[in-house]
Order: sequence, then C-alpha cells, then structure tokens
Amino acid sequence: MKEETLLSINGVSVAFKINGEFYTAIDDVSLELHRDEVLAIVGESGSGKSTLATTVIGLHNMNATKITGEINFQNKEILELSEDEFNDIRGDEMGMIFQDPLAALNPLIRIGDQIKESLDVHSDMTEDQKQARVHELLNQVGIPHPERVAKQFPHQLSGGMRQRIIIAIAIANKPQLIIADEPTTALDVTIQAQILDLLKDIQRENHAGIILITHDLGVVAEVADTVAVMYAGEIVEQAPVATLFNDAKHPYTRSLLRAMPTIDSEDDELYVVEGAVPSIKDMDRNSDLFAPRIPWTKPDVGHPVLKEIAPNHYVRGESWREFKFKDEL
Amino acid sequence: MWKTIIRRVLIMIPQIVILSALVFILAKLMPGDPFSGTIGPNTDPKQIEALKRAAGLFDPWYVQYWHWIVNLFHGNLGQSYTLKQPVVTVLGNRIGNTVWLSLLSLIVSYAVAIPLGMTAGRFDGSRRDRAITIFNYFTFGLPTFVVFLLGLYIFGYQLNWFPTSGTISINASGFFEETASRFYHMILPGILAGVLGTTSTVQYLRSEIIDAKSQDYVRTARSKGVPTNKVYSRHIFRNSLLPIAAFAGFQITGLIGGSVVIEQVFSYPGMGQLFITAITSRDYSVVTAIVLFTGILALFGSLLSDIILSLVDPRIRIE
Repeated sequence: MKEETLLSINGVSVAFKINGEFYTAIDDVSLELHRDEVLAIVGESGSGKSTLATTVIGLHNMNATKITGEINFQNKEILELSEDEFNDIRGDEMGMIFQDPLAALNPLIRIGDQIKESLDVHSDMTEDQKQARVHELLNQVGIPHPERVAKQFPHQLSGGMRQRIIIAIAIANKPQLIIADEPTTALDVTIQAQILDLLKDIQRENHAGIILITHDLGVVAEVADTVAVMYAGEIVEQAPVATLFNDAKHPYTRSLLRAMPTIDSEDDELYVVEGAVPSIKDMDRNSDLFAPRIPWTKPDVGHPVLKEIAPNHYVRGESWREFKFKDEL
Repeated sequence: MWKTIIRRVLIMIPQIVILSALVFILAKLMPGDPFSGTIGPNTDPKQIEALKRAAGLFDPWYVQYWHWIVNLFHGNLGQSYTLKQPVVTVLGNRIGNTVWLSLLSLIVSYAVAIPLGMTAGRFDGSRRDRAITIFNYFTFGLPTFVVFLLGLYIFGYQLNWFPTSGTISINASGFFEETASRFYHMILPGILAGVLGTTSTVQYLRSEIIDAKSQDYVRTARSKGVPTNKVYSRHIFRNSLLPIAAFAGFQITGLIGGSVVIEQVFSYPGMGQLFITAITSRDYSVVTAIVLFTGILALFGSLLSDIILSLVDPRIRIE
C-alpha cells in the first residue's frame, strides 16, 4: 500500500559554472518520495547528495548553475517557478534542516525572532499568535523554558539545542516535505537519537515526507524506508532499507556497508574504500565512475545505466555481478 | 554593561599616566627652552639662570613632572608662548570648530560609503560594482591636498559657491545667522573630507557582504522563503556592518584629533591647524597639550568602539 506521491524528481541534472565552464555535479537523477516516507540519500562527501537537496529547495545561485529535468512537488513543476513563487513554497510547504547548527543561525538575531520569521513570511497570524506558535514549536522540539530561550541568542545555546532550533524553524509552517541535510552529524550519539525520534514524531503528525541526507548508515538503518546511494552525482543503487542492508549489490554500496564498524566484527582493522570521489572537474561521465576505486574488478564499458533487478531494487551497471572484495579473491 | 565601562575607564588611568610621562619626556627632550626665544643677546646670563630657576627648570625631572601633573589636574596646561594665552583657552577656541567639521565629514563619509559598499557587495562583479571600485581607486589614490586644493579652486574661487576660508562670516549676527554661516563654511571641506574618507568603509563593507552572502544563516533565511531584499536588509547588511561599527569609535575620535591637511588648506581654525602652527613656531606647551589630548582621545576611541560593538553584536555583550 503506497501513499500518494509527494515529490518526484525526473532526470534532474545540475551543472555548476567554474571559471566560465559548466561541470556536471548531478547526472540524471530520478527519485520519488511519498507521504509518510523517509528517503535516505547516502554517499561520501562530494557524491552530490547535498547538491540534490539544495536543488529541490531551490537554493542554488542561479547565475552559476544550470538545472535540467523536472521536479514535481504537489503537482507543481518547481523548476519552472519564479523566485517569488518559489519563496511562497519554501519554508511553508517544504522546510530544510541544515547540518552545522551554529553557522545556520544568525548570530545577531534572537532565537524567537528567527523562528518567527518563517511565520512572518507565510502566515497571517497576529503577533500574539505568532508568539504562542514560537513557544509551542520550541516546546515541541523539546526545549525547556521556551519563553526564556526565545529571548536568547544562538551562542547561548548548546549544539543539540541549536539543532532543535533549526528543526523548529524548518517545521514552523508544518511543511509537507522536510529535507534534512545531515541533521545529526554535528551532534553526539545520545543527542542524535533524540533528534531522529523528534523527526519521526513530526513526520507522523503532518504525514510529511522526509529526505534525509547522511553518510551515517547507522542513522539510515534506524529511520529510513527507502535508500538511494549516490556516487559522483548519480544514483548507483536504490532499494527499500531492508533490501539494501541485507542484499546490497553495487560494489560501492557493499564497500560502504563493509566500512561500517559493527560491534561483533572480528577484524581488527576497519575496511577502507581506497581513493576518493573524483572532483567534478575530472569526472569522465562516459565511464564506470566507481571502477577506479576497485581496480581489481573488470569495469563496465561506457556509461553504466540504472536497472531494476528486483521490484523496487535498482542497481547501476553490470559489473556488480562479478564483484568480489579484494580479500575474497 | 555599566560595570564594564567603569572598569575600562579605571584601566585607562594608568594608561593615561604612562602616556603623560611619555609626552612630558618627549617635550623635555626637544632642544631649547621657553626662554631662548624671548631673551635678547645682551641679557645677563645670571638673569636667565634666575628665570630658569624660578620656572623650576633646574629641579630633578620627577619634580618637574609632578608640578606638570598637578597643574594638569587643575586644568592648567600652561601658557602658549606665541599666542600669550593659556593653552586651555587656545584649545577651547579651536576644539568646537574641529568637532563640528569632523562630525559633518563623518556623516558625509558614512552616507556615501554605506550605500556604495552595499551595492558593490550585493551586485559584485556587475558594472555597478566595477564603477564603485574605480571610484574607490580615486578616493584612495588621489593625494588629499590635491583634491582639497582643486575643490577649493573650483567651488570656492571659480564658481563662488562656498567661502574659501575661516569658520564664520564677519557680517553674521544673531544665533541663527551665525549657525547658518558656520555650517556654510563647513560644507565644502566637510564634503571633500567625507568623500575622501570613504575608501576603507566601502571596501570593508563590500567584502563583508560578499562573505556574508555565502554564510549558512543566509541560506537558512532563504530556506524560510524570505524574499531576497529582506534577506539582505535583515541578515546580510546587519552582519556586514559589524566591522564598520567596531571601527567607528576610532574613526570618531581620530577625526576630532583634527585633520591637519584639510584645516590647513581651508584656513580653518581647528585643532589640526593649531597643531601645525604650534610645531612650526616651537610652541611646546601647546604641542604637548595636543599630543596628550589626542592620546587620551585614542584611548576613549577604543572604549567607544568596544561599547558600539557590544551594542550591535550580542556575542560581545558584557554582563
């Protein structure tokens, strides 16, 4: 039983202008997100996951970015919206949670006013109603003494508290879509769990869809329904969370899973995927992009394509059929 | 807040004592003495010695310093040798002129620099930005006295729009007329000095805005759907003005110290002109008084900067 589709991304590519030339950062990505679903996008730094999220909420500098493809959000083609029309949606129907909770808050403005700004833009509440809503939001994200905290400045709060403020800002207008860009990266593990629970609660309340961007597979296992693995700006594997953890196919996914430390691991050393994501300036889009990092495996010829190998399980290319880890050869 | 200000003022006392000692020693190191210029060649050397003894010049330096300090605290800065007036009176006549002139040029300077810096920063790389950068090269590169002289020649002598010297017209009478006349005399030097003083503010503001544009909190604001103009006015400009605000205290007191060049060119009787005249005529008591005064101003400038910054930046708020 699938819920209604909230967001569908169709063949979206994003290119950035660097020194007058465009370089592709996201290549032909298609994804769907339903209500009540948590879609996790995982990958290393530089794999394009944040770029994709920024594209959905329309925060790229359009003077230096070229976006092609279609993004349909609640029956609106959002790539065709003007800046003003997009501003009506941003912060209202979709909200974004950013990763660095100190940098993401304006140091000169009181917490309460920063949350209230979302309401100022999108609602016609009176000042008193806004005030009450701010306190309600602070309460909801688990901040004690909302009245006092609302009058404080960001630097007076701890990292976990600031992350809660960021969440309060993102959910102020009960958005249908919440994009969470590494919401727990800057936090310690106990706070992480609290923040994830909070996100789940908020989702249940509004039947929202969540795009969760992370490189932490532990977080994915805990909250995600569907997982898309990105490498070098393209999706290399996409599957329901259980499938992905039990039956991952693509060498990159398998490498990531293997690199994840487990409590009953017998190895003393952690598995390491050699090398790094290539910079977008030296990506050859007409090749198997992950192949250079597993040189012992025969690469796909040309540019491998994403195929559905089982219901809802997509894998890019064919090389995965032969893939073995180096020590299994 | 008040506690911190009081504490800072108390810390200033030893700083001022050290400053005064330095100024005093420097004054003593200067060749000559107050009597060298006033005595004829036929004066009996014994008489000169008696005069010097009476003035305390043979006392040990710390005794002299003590007398000087005690006089200082009584508001007695000595006598100007060339103007034959108490130094306090001489300074009092000039300081008002300088304060008003510098206030005007400061206002002009910010009124010109802030919009320019904001435009250049917001539309960096655009044609407007490049034009502003060129303007900046001019205000930075042109020698001030050249601009002042040109301004004086064109607007004062050729077009006759503004008076060419002094602070007030001799015909002015009555409060209103006098004030208007003073203002009229300030306009040309005030505007010229103000415009030439925009360079660093424009440049600072421009780079601060370019820097702020890519900050995470700006992205947060945009993610709330805040319209671009509001993002600038509420989030970017305010944060970009911090370094300007931090510098404002020094700027204000620095200007009160007097601008030597502009007052000299416009024959405007202020502190700067007094300083130059005092040095060239070896009027030591006036020179030491002005040096001490500007030194104290600099100390207050740093305090003022701290206060301004603590008012605009909550992170620096002092409890």
